[in-house]
Amino acid sequence: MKKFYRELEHAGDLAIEVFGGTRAELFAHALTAMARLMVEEKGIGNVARQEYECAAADDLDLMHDVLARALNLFLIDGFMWREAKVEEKSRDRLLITLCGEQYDPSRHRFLREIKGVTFHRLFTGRGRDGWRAEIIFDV
Amino acid sequence: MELRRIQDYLWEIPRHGEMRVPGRVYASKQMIDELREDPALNQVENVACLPGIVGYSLAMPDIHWGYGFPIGGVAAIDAADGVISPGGVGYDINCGVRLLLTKLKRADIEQHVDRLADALFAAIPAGVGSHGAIPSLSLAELKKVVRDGIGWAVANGYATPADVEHIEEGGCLASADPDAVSAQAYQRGHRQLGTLGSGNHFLECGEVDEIYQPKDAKALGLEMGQVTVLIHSGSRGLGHQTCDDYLKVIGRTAERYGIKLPDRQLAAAPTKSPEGQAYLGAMAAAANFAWCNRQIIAHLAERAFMEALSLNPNELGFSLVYDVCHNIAKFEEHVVDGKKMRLCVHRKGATRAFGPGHPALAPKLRALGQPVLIPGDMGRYSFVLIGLEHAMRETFGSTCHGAGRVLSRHQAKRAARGRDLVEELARAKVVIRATSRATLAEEMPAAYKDVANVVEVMEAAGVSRRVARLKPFAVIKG
Repeated sequence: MKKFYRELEHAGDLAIEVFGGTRAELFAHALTAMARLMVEEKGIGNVARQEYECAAADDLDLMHDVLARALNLFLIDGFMWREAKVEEKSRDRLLITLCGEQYDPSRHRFLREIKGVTFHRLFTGRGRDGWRAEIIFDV
Repeated sequence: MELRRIQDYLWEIPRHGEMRVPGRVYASKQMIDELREDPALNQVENVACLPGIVGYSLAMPDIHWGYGFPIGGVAAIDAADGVISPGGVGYDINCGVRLLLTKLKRADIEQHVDRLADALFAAIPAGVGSHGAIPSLSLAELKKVVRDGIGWAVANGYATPADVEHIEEGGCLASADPDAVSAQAYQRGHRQLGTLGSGNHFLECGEVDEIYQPKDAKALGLEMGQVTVLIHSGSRGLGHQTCDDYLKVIGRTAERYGIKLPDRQLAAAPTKSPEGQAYLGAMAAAANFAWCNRQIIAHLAERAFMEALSLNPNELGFSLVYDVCHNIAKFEEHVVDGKKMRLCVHRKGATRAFGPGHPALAPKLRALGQPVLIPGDMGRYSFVLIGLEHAMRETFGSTCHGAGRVLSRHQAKRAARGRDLVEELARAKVVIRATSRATLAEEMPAAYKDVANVVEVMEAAGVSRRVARLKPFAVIKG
C-alpha cells in the first residue's frame, strides 16, 4: 500500500503531510495517521464504532474539527481507532466513522502524546496527483 | 530581514508593511546570527500587526518558533481598543515554574538521592495522561478550583495562607469565569490536578551551586549547597482544550471585526467583544487551575521528601520562594510615551519581571523586586533572577523564560540513538526517573541552548539580574 502520510521535519512539534485520492479519503487518512502516531496499529481491534458529524465553512476548519473531535474521543473516552471512514454529506458537512476499540495500556503500545491539532500552517488542497494536507500537532 | 543593532544586546526590526510597531529582539550577536533565517523573527513581525499593540513586538533571547506568536514573545496591547489573542498565550495556559527551598544541604542527603527520586516519582503522576494525584473532583468542585485558584488549595489543605504571597497574582485571577470553560476542558482536566504531564515538564531537585548577589540571595533564603525543588508544569488538558476552543471561536470572528490575520493561529478578537471577554474568563480559569496544579505537586513532593528521608515538616523546612507563570495575558499599567496606559500584556514563553517597589509585589518582596525562575535543561543548571526597574521601561516588565530548543524533537531522538542517556546523566551526577525513554531523548540536555547565555543577555540589557544558580541532582520527567 502506498504510504498515505509522512512526518515532516519540524522544530518544536510534530508535523505531517497526508495524501488522499479524494477529498473524503484525505480526511480519513489524516484521522488514521493521527491514530498511528499515537498508538501502534498492531493489536488494535475492530470491535466498536464511534460516529460523529462535523460541519464548517471551509476545509481548514473542517480538518481541524474532524481531527480535534477524534483526538478528544481518545483523550477523554479512551477510544482508539484502527480505521476511519469519511462520507461527504454535503460540501461543508462530513460524517465520520471510527472503527476500533477501547485503548488498553496492557495490550496496546502507546507511541506519543498528541495534545492538540493546531491551525498553524494548516493546509488542505487538491493538486495534480490528488489531495494533500499539512498538519502540525501540539505534542 | 532588516535587523538594526540598537544596543549591544538589542536589535530592532523596523516597522514595515502591516506592522503597527517595530519589532525588538534581545539577543547577543551570535544568537542573532543564528536567528536571521529563523521563521520566529517573521512571527515577531506578524505580532506587530495586531490591532492595539503599543511600543514594540518584543522577543526575548530564548525566542523560538511557536504557533502564531513566537515562544519568547511579549506583546502589550491597549486594553481600551486592542485585541486579545489566545495564540499569544499559548496552549498551556499559565504554564509556569515554582521554586521551593528546604533546610537540607546536598551533602546531608548524598546517600539517599536514589530513594528520594523513587519516592518523588511514585508520589507525583507524570507522563502521558497522568492522573490520580488526588481524589477525583466533582464538576462543582472543579469549578471552585478554577474560580478560586490557590484559595481553593488553602481551603483544602494543600497550601498555607503564607504561600499566597509567594505566587504571581496571589495564585488567583479574579476575572475567572468557570462557565466560560467547556465541558470537554473540564473532562480533560478533572483527574489531572497534581500531575506533571509530559513533554518538557519536570520536577527537579537541585542545589544552590553559585550565588551572584549575596544580599538578594539572603533575602530569598538561598544559601550555597541548599537543596531546592523546581517544578515546571501548567494547566494540563483543561488549559489546552480552553485554548483550542477559543482559537476556533475567535478565529471565526476575525472577518466580522475587520481583523486581518497573517496566521490563523494568531486569532484575535477585540478585548471588549463578547468573544474576547469569554476567552479572558476562561483563560483566567485555566490559569487558576494551573496554580493549583503546581501547588498540589509541591504538596506531594513535600510528603515524598518526608517519607524518603524520615523527616518531619520542621526538619525539612519546605517553603515557597516564588511561583511564576510564563504563558499568560494580564491587565497591567505601564507608561508608554510618557502616558500611563492600561495594557493587556501577552507573555508567551516570557516571564513577568517587575522591578523593586512595584505595587503588584507582596510587601515582603516589594523592596527586592520580583523573583524570576528560569529553568535550563536537566543536565546543566537553572537560574533564579530578580526583575529590575529597567524592565518596566523597556520590556513591559518582562524577561526570558528558559533555554529554548536548539534541536528539533526528531534531531534530538536521532542524536540519542544508541546512547544510554540515563547512564550519561548519572555520570554527571543527575539521577533521572522518566516514564518515557522517547521523551527523555527529546528533552536531552543537548536539545537545548545553554540557558546561561540567555540569562546573561537579559542581565546585560539591564532587565533582570542573576541571584543564584541551581544545579540539578534528581529529575522527574513525564
